[in-house]
Amino acid sequence: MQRIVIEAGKDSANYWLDLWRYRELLGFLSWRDLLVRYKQTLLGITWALLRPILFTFVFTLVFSKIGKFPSNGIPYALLTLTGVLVWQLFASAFGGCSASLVNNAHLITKVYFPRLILPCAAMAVGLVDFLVALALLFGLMPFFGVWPDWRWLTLPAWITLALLAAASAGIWIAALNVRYRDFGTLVPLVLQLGMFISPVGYASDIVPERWRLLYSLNPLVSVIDGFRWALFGGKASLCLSGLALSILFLLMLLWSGLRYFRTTEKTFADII
Amino acid sequence: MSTPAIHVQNLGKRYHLQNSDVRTWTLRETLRNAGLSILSRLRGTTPKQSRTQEFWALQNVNFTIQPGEIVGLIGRNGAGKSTLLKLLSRITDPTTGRIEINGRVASLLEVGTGFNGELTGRENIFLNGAILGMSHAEIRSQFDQIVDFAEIGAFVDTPVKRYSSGMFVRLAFAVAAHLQNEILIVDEVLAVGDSKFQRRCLDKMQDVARSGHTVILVSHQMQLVQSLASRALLLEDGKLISDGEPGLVIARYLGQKAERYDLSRFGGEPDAIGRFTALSFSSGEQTWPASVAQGEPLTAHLEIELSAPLHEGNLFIAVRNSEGIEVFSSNWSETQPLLELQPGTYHFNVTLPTRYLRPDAYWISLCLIRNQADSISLLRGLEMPPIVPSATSDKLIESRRWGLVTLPCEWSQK
Repeated sequence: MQRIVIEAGKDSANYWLDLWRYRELLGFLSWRDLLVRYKQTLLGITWALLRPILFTFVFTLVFSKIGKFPSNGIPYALLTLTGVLVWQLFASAFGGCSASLVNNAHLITKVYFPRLILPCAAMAVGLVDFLVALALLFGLMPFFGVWPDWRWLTLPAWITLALLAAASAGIWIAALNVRYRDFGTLVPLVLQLGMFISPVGYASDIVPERWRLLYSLNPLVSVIDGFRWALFGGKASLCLSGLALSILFLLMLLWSGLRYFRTTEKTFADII
Repeated sequence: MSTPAIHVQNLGKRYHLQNSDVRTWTLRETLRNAGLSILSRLRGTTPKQSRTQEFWALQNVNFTIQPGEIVGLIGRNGAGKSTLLKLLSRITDPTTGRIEINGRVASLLEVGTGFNGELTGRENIFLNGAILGMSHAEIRSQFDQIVDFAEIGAFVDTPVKRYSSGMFVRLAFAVAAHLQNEILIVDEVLAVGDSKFQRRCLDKMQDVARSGHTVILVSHQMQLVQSLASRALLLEDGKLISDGEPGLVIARYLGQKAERYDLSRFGGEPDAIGRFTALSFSSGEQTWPASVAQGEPLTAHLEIELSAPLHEGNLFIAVRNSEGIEVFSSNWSETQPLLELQPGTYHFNVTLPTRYLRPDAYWISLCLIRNQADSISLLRGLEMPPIVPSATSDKLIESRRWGLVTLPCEWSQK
């Protein structure tokens, strides 16, 4: 029989075990978000395709046709579509993560479960949308004469990195948002500006070499570059020192975020 | 003794109350306070006390609950009942003390937690089950029983937002009622649905307890606690002040200290020719007993004052139970001739038929009448000593009883 001891001022001894016990709830909450998102919509999952297509169209028009940005021989539409897909994966996962606790306040004040489940479950919708859109990208590539090679095998790693970026920032914001709703307002702003700061509509090569390392402090630069490197072979450049810096930065962010989350978690129900 | 289901030691929970001028905890406020505290530290002075007040919602609570017990938790609003439930269900953390729980806990602090209107009944059963701590396999095996219990039949694949409120509540309770967890924590959720459904919920709760599960329930319905619980805990201002046999604890909760009601300030217009001035109760030798066992004598003593002659006068009494239902009423003129009284103070007694009253809290209304039908003084909601089960009563029989009153019926077999 399960035995639980709660002592004032002490951490629950088997927090991570609890998280494992509640893994089914994680699945159910993700499934709920997915179901609810496309209920009573006419186009359903087609929306996952429509949005990146529209963004790609506009970005290609603005950056390539009007702005004459270089693309190193990668078809510009594909370059942008890749950027848009990765960005939307990050934006949706990060946005979902940040709002997850406040959106589920009714659960937090009425039932116990490890609260970390909420931000994790909130990332599922973004991931599923991304996978659907990725299929579109794969379907389009032969028309532009791009064929798979071994680098495609590294794709899961880049997806993981994108989710890591979303989670490490999202967990911080989610916990802060419980007490200070200011952060909820901050997120859409960050996402709007971030879309132009990150190489979504252009290739990161246009940033001068001496600024590349500084530019890599934005982890999304490495993630998007990594995707393009994996999909378009050698045509996209990958800044390895920048990648290492991004990963280190993200791990630190995640570690501190988890710590903050764990210390404030117990008070969520009281202040939310 | 076996392992207790729940063991609570020195439990306390402190909240910080915000002063009313700061409603929400804003970032600006926090930054300002941080700035001020740094500033004052630089100056070498101690920072000013923050504008929060401490408040102990629960303090020094100790109890042990054995597996299979049904414990009723009672107390006034704000006594700490909800806080205790939240601590036991791990929603919030204690400030002091220790809780040991043996078994899986399911807490029903609300009916339909996590229900989503967009999802169908079927989807909600799975989602809600998971939120309450059931595994996928458990939900699947109970699914048909849940649908049957909720009586939603053909609507199982309709979005819940199209349900009637009754269907919604039935479905929500049905999921909860089929939880397999060893410990069930219930907050006032039985006060839902029509009376037939409530009855089934009660039966279900008793089944749950009989199969060895532990139940902790909060209720303001004393009759429910009386008939369902094997033990009651009484909280007052965050402290556990009584723990024991439900009848006694309820009596203490409802108990009156006053010897008599002074009614001279209430009832009747200032120029009315008569009014009630006092009310008291007695049972045998005892004046205003804390409670009266079913079948024991209980007499209400009324005092009226008349400033003018009363012509064709009458007295009226009605008794209301804790659910606000008038259980019975009685008139002086049913057994006596109408009153013809000169100005002065008069005393009347009325014996109440406690034999027929179910264990519960009761309130009485009084009315003084002249000219056969004109009310000249009406008082409502006067608390009388609660009725508790007699020492000889059988808890099982009591729990099988239903309805407003206990009436003697003759049973025979041919």
